[in-house]
Amino acid sequence: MNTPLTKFTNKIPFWRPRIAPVELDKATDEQLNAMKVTPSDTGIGEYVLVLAHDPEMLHARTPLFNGIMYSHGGLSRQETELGAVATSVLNHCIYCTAVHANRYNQLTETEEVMESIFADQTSANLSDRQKAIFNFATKLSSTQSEWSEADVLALVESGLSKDEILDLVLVSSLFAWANRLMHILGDPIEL
Amino acid sequence: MNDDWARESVLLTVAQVQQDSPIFDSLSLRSEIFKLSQQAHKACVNPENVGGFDQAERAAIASRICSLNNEDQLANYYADLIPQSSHAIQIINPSYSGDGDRRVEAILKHTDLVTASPKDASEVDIRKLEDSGISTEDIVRLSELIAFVNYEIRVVKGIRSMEQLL
Repeated sequence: MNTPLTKFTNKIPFWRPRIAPVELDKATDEQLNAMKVTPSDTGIGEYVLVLAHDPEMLHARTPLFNGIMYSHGGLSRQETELGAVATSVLNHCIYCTAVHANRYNQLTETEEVMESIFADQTSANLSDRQKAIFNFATKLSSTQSEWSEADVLALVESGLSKDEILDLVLVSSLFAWANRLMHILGDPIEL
Repeated sequence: MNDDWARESVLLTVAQVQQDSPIFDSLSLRSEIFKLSQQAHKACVNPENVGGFDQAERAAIASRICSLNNEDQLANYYADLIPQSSHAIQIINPSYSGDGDRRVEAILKHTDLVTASPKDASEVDIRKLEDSGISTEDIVRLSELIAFVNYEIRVVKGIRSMEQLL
């Protein structure tokens, strides 16, 4: 059996569940209904089948996840992905980090930002605006939520609007949730 | 304008957001997110099928998670949902560890670990839940409960901070 990955990567791994997923041919109508609203996505099959053990939650969760990640207006797609990565790195969720680092790299057509984050897990080599986003998302994600007025004001000084800051709060919060499912219920395995 | 989504949102109520708030326009742009968050909140604390965790126990675990995050207002909201006569009321205190009840001990140990230090959780922690008799379905229910309340806490704290500073 392959050992789980422990280092950050932008190559999307396989997600191996730690508990038995719902078997599709034995799924209830409620479970099928909850799974239907899920977009087809790389490696997400097993994950959705695991979450289908709680279909009522899954039913609300999928549109909420997509709404925060893909709604128009507010924070740009690439900065939304940066917020997702910041939280996922703090929580050491290798799978979530890989998926969203990969999307960030596709959207920006560069790998330097993610390579720099993987190297030292800080915002050391980012632009001021990227730094402000990364630091706020990281601090909001920590259990003690130790951000200060300066961290919020750094967002404003970097030119983020209220709409953008709210979206950053939402995406960082969303990954407080997603990391605690993905990293707890399964392991990232190199394909 | 119909602001039911805001009135019905536990998160905005706990964060004490008023309709004349300087960030209300931004929140309105995301009204759909707050509606869906409220649906998820119901699925978390008051689902049709509670599985192995009754409503009082769910609210107690949620309140405990809030206290571990120093989020007192949301902790109080959840604590108020628990009947005083319920044994689950003890769970809200983070120093309570289950008092020899193997199932409750396993649940609280897992809740505290995943809340405070998710990066340190490993496969062993899932096996411990199984060994204490918790079913696969209930492991997912508990995971969603812990993860979702951690989401709620950050939304409340983030919005409160925006209101104060922007």
